[in-house]
Amino acid sequence: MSLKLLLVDDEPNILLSLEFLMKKAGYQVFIARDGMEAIDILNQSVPNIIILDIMMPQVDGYEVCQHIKKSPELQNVKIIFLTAKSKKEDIEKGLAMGADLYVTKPFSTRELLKQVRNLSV
Amino acid sequence: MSYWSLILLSAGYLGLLAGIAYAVDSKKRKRPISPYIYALSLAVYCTSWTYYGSVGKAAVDGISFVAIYVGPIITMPLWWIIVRKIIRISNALRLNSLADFISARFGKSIRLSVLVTLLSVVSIVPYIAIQIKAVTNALSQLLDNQSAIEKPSLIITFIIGLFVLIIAFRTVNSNEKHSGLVTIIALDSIVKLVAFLSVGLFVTYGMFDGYSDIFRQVDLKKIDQFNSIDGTEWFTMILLSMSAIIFLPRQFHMAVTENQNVAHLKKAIWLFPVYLVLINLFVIPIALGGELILGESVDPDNYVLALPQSVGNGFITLFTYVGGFSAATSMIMVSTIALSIMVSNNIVMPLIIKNTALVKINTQKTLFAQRFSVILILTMSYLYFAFVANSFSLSSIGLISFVAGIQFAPVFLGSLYWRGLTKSSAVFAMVSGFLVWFYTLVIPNIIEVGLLPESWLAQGPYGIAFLNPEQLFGLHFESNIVHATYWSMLFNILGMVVGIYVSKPSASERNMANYFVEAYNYSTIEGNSNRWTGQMVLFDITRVLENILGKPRVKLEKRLFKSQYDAPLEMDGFVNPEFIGHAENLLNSAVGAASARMIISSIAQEDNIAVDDVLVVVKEKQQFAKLNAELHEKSKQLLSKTAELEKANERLKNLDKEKDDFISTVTHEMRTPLTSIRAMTEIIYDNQDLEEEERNDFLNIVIHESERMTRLINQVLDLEKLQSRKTEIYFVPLKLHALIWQSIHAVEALTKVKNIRISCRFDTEEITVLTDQDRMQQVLINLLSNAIKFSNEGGEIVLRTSRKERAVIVSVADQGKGILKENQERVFEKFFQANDQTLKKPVGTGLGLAITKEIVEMHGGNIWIKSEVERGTTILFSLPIEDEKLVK
Repeated sequence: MSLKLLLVDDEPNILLSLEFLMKKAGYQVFIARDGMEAIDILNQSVPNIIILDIMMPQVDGYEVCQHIKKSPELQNVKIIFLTAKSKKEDIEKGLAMGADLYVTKPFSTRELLKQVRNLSV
Repeated sequence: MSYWSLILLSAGYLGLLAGIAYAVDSKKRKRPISPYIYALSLAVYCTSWTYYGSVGKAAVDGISFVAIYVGPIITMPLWWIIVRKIIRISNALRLNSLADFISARFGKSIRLSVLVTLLSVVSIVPYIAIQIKAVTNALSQLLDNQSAIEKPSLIITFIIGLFVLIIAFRTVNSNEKHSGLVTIIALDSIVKLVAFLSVGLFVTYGMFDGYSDIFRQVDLKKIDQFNSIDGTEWFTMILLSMSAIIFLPRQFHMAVTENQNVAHLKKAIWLFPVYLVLINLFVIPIALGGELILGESVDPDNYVLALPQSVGNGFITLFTYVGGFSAATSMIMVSTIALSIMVSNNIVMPLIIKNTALVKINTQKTLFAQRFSVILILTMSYLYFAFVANSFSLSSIGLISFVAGIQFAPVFLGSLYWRGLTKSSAVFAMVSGFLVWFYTLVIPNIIEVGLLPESWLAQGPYGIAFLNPEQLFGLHFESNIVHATYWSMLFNILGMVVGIYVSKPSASERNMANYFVEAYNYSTIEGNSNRWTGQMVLFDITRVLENILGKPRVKLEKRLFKSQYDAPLEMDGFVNPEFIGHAENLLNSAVGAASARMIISSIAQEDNIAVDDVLVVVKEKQQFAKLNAELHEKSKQLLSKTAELEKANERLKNLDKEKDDFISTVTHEMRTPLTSIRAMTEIIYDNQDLEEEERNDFLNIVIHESERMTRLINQVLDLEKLQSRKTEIYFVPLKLHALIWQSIHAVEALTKVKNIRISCRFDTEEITVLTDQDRMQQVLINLLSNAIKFSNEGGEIVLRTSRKERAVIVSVADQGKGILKENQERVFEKFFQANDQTLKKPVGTGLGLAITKEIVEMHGGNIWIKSEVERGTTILFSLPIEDEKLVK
């Protein structure tokens, strides 16, 4: 059974590339175009990994992260922040919130795939 | 005439003069005296000695009396050189006596001024005494009552003293020119000249039948005697009178101290000699006539008065008396004033100052000093007259004074023309000259009066023949005046030479020597008593000024002076005299005139200690107030500076934060398209087996995101250029509606996608505005594409123009979602959309409205927003219409 992957980003083209990549790698891909959509999806099904943008309208990535950490049924979800926020304090903040991985944009597709695979083992 | 009526007449005459002097001095508009008055006032030279004594001397010694007038007549042209220089120096340094002048030349030496004062008193008091004697003689001649001599002399002395006090010393300021005094002295000169000419005419043409008649009557032997001239004596007399005309205190006072304009000298140079010739016209006829008619029965000194009296002409007799009285009183008055200025300034005042606290010195003390000096001198003169002078003829005592006067001449001339002269040599010269004068002229007189043994004159003191006062070192002269002049001048000059070898001039002496010798090179304006002169060092005066006025002010004043006077501050290493005057005026306003004078003169002394003393006093006085004010000012400045700094700091911080935010936002915004581009290209590269359609889609995304990035970079740069006003805008008159239509046409493609209708509602006819075509189009397209962006599918955009006063307002309204009230103002901020989390992220850079706002503001217009949630947003902007003509 393939692993479930939730991709959250408000940039359609980034979402498009991630979807292509992950599907190609054999993951079952869910897509959310902002934090609200992500939480809706999370309420219905539990992904193994979530690739989460931070700066999004209305509900941002941090809130989604907090939602996951609060929800008992989502405790096993691995969180990867994929964001343009690349300052040291941003990275520290993201990891402190319980993210398993912090990847800054622009990212290397091969590197991201490798890290997603590592997380899914 | 009765005794009392004569006293009353004398007092009345003096009263009249005092009245005239008072009237002149109290004139509201003071006018400078005329040069004629100045020239006539110099005739104070002609005393009762001239008036009575010339005749007396002529009767005894013949024509030689003329020598006393030849000297002045031949030296007068030289006045333009010598006296002019003296006046110039005196005015510049505010010197008002002989003593001041000599002491100033040698560094304002107090000792020297006391010495000159004492010597002047010693030599002039007897001279004043003989004037009292002359008046008394005249009175006794008129009254024919020998016993009454002393009483009237005392009364006359008293009256004269009173008038001196009234006329000259009513006010304190001894620097003031006494116009009243000069006027009445000139009047005296006229009175005595007219009186003497009257009596001369009366004797020559009334009592005799003219000149030739008198000479016919005199026997030939007498005429031979008259014409015999002793060459040595003649020469000596000329020499003595040449110096007397300027170095006698009264002459110095009239010629220099009372001079109001150096140009007056020009008149005096010819008028005064004429006066001297006129007053001597009838000396010989009167002398010969007196001898013919009166002979030995009357003192020859009294011939002038006795002749008209002898024929019973009461009017001429009385007029002659008045003339003689005026000659005597004018001399007494001026001499007393000149001497008392010296005594008061150099002896009495210093004593008072020494014994009084500085704060207690006031006008009354100064007045007291001056009045006391007047009384002292007149008392001494009277005592001399009462106990000594009776034994001598008028001219003999007069000549003794002349010999004393010439003792000042070498030092004085040396002061003016010889830099090398030192203070010691001046002292040596004057002291030795006066000692010899005293020994050879005064001692014999004392012997004659009987205070010393007569054997001194026969065998010499204690039998030492070569110390004989009248035949010093065994040298014998016909006249003891010649004898005294010869020896005193010899010792005088010897003393000077010795002094030069044993002493060196001090620095201040050297400076003063330069100034005295080169007086003409120092100041360009003559006769201005407000002028200080060049013996000051710029450092000293600057230091004092800075202490009182503060450095910046002094710096400013120096600069102002340079530009106003077009003159350097320093000349020949000394401060420009005009700047010193300027400096004194500055100080006047700061510490008052008296202190200013004190301070300036203290610096003028070039005495470093004095400068320091002045500074201490001034500092103490000013420091407190100044420090206080400074502190106050400084703390105020500090406070405002702190506030300014805080503000600036705040501004900088804000700017810094803004910049930081902007940069981080820009980089963040750039990361997004870059992310897509990188991801897509890597996918294409790694998946060579992509469907062609899919690959093209991905490549399109890369192109699209690249465009987005380019747009972003361009807009950032554009905004930067607009904000820093680096961009150039070309305003040209353009038709606004046409421009709007063009812009609508440019966004047509966008409208078609969303099926949006744009309608225009123009409230006015076509309006011409001054604008930059590209920029205005940028604004319009920006607003339209924004409106399209936020419009719902199939919505309508309304574009309006309307006139409001001198502006046109353009509005673009959409029917979109609208913007929350709290966010409305922020839409013009950079990247506002990007920061705004409440709206669904729209496409665009977030810089469009910021740029639009900049452009509108560069046109002089405003931009604002009206929006209601769910009803739509309207962006409005105004453009000013500059020229009504362009509206057409």
